[in-house]
Amino acid sequence: MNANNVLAISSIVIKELYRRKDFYVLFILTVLITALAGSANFFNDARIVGWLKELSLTLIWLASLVIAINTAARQIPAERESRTIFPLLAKPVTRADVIVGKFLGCWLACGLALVVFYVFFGIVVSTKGGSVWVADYVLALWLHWMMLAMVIALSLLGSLLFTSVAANVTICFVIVVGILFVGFHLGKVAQQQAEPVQSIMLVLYNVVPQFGFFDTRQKLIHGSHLALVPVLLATLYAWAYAAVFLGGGWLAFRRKALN
Amino acid sequence: MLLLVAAFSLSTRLLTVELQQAAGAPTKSMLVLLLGDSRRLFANHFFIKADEYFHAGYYPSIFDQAAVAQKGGGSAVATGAVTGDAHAGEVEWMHGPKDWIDRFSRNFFPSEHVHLDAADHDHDGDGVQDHGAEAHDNHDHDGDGKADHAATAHDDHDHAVQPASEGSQLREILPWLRIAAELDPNRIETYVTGSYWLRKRMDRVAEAEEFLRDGLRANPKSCALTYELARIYDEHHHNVARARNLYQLALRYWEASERLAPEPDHFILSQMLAQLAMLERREGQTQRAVFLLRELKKISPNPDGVEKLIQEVLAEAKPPGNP
Repeated sequence: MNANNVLAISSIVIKELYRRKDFYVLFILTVLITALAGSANFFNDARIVGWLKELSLTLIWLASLVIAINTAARQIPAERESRTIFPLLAKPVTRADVIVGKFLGCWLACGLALVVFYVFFGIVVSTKGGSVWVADYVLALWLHWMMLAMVIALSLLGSLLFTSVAANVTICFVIVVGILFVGFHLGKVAQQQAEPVQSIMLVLYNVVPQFGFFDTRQKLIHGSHLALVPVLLATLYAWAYAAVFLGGGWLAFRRKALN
Repeated sequence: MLLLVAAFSLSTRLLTVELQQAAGAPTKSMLVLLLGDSRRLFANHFFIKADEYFHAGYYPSIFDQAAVAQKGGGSAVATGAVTGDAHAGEVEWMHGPKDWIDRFSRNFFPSEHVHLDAADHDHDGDGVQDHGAEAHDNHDHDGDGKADHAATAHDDHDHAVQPASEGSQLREILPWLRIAAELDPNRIETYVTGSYWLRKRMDRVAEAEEFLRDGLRANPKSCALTYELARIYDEHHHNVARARNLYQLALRYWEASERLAPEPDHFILSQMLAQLAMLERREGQTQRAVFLLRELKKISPNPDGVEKLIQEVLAEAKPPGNP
């Protein structure tokens, strides 16, 4: 794998993101909804900020998932459809370079988008007189970005397994949101099932990427602090899963006919 | 395309409703039109959200809530509003971690049981809770492990609570209560809960009264809302005549709605009788106070405690030196 090739491919992906309208539309929508909600008056108390934090962070999470999954899902199918994949691979670029370059580009682009979203979130909170510890704020942003690494790698893998972009986007979205909602509870539900369902559920519980480790919204909203060591461990967890998905993607891409 | 179909369907529905209204049918709010009865589900969700905020995010998931309900646990924010003790009836749902995922996940969401009304347990005012929920439930304020006063069940369980400080996060429960009330204006519990926290813990009596009046507009003959309004006039406005009238009105509403019910709400009745009896006692209306306390004794789970109170009231009324 050549680092220069990877960086060159990733820079093209970043340029593509800021040329497309997805991010701008989602950002403006987030700003509008948050601003509208922020103008609501509850019992003449202007310092109520918790519900606005919740709304804003939910919108940011939704927008970031949409951007990450959509951007990653169409990278390789678009190259194949427009046939630009042939001149790309005719150069001294390996299929691993393409996969890693696409992943890195999407991940960095999502990181940039996240920074913009979180700056907006910080402005909203401070405008309403609320407080967010900068360290927690940075750690939450970092964890969110780490989770997107897994999501992007999963979406890239899906783009090589499923025939259409729409199917891949839908399946990835269902998987990610499903794990976010029930991932931590699979173990409890498994205990109430009979065999062999119990064993299957317990395997799933331990094998699926637990995106909930990266969802620190409740900590940010209610002002409880994040510790550094768990964040570092979660980072390693995210990188491991991203590597597994990218490895799977590379294997699928290696065997895939391009035409 | 899907949006277009949804928009078209909605416009035909709204047109039908518009025509019905033009024909003289009663008007409904936009929320009722759009959500129908499902808005009650959302209202319940937002009411629970208020409780979640009261616990600073420490809250059972839907997978844990069934177990909590089986053990008889309820909403702390609502229980606190009714009994004056947010810890009463609470059930601890988070136990030791079962596996590594459970243990590790606790670093990323609030996993410590706290209440926003820390003043409940900070009797020396140092900002640190002086005792836990269990001690509070046993009425142990000096921390010696023994109950400091006999709990007369719920007859008069109203601790001398302090308003929250300016920096208190208690206000964060308010938007959810307001949204819950908007979605389901017939849910009495929302108004009673909101009013309690506003007047008792945030010292915002005007807002509490306004919220209660909103509730009374939607539920004109609610004994719980009338009783709560009476308490505002009694405890905050110190308008004895109006408070007395409202207590009596609340009792009449209770008679009309609950007396013949299969399971009459004796809890609210006992609260109304106790509060009115105390008002009459303060005003020197001994006979009236004793009559109300005797009524209370019939339904109280602690009749001995009420009898003791009756004797105290009678002893006060007797002139000194005349046995």
